[in-house]
Amino acid sequence: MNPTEQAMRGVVEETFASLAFMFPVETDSPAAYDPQSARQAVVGFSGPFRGALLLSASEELLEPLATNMLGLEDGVCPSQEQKQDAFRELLNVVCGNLLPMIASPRDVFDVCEPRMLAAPDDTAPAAGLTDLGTIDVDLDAGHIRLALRVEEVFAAYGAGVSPAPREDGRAQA
Amino acid sequence: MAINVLVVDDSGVVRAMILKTLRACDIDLGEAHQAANGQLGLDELARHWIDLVFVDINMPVMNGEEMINKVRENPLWADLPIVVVSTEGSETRIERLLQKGAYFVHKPFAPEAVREILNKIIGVPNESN
Repeated sequence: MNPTEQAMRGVVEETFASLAFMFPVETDSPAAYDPQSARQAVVGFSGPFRGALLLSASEELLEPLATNMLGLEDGVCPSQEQKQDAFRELLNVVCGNLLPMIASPRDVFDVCEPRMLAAPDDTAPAAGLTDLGTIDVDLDAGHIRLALRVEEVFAAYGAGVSPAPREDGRAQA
Repeated sequence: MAINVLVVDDSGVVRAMILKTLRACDIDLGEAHQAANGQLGLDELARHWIDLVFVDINMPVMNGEEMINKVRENPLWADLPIVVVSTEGSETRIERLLQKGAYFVHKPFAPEAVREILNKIIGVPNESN
């Protein structure tokens, strides 16, 4: 796992624990990622470098995510809109917290509105994009995948390979 | 005296989370208004008496920073307490928001972080106090 993927894992685990009360589990037989049943959201960003983050999870995970985030009572089911809203917001939080760690804390990024993708994009990155990291995380409630893709021209100049994090978790300036 | 709040965020889930947190704090919560972007937030401000605003940064139509600029341009709202609740991690942008007199709560936030800010603004005691 490269330093960017380590940062991605740390942010994902903290975000899902804080917002959705879902925690990583160690397992000898990790859940197989099934793109056929996955839901995927994407968020684009621009700043010192440009790219996108893609978050994938099984359809079944979306309901407990929204239920936990909204603190719904037992027996109350979130709507489809609430499930997607919760999923998009988790990606938004992951993106906002990850970028300062892989860039500089003083860099300013503009983050686009996250959106759901109609069909998961699990093929190789589109032309002009390169994959800086992909992580799979087994949570106690299901499996998620996060992929970070940046424009090749920025990747070539070192985007996402900043020095080791400081003690406060941010990358060195 | 009851505090009227406005929560501005394009995520309905986040608006619900913030309001739930506020209801769990020891404040006399009055009217709770919501808006999905900065422009709609300004519309709500014009329509209602608001004592405290919670606002996200990244939103469509009008982002939170633009909304704060508009609010501060209006003498009626120049001293209105504004709490930015955002994933924003850029020290540059956070410093800029603080200079506009806004408070900042980082997402993901713990209820204690909101309570601490409320304590600074309206004197809500921390649970540990």
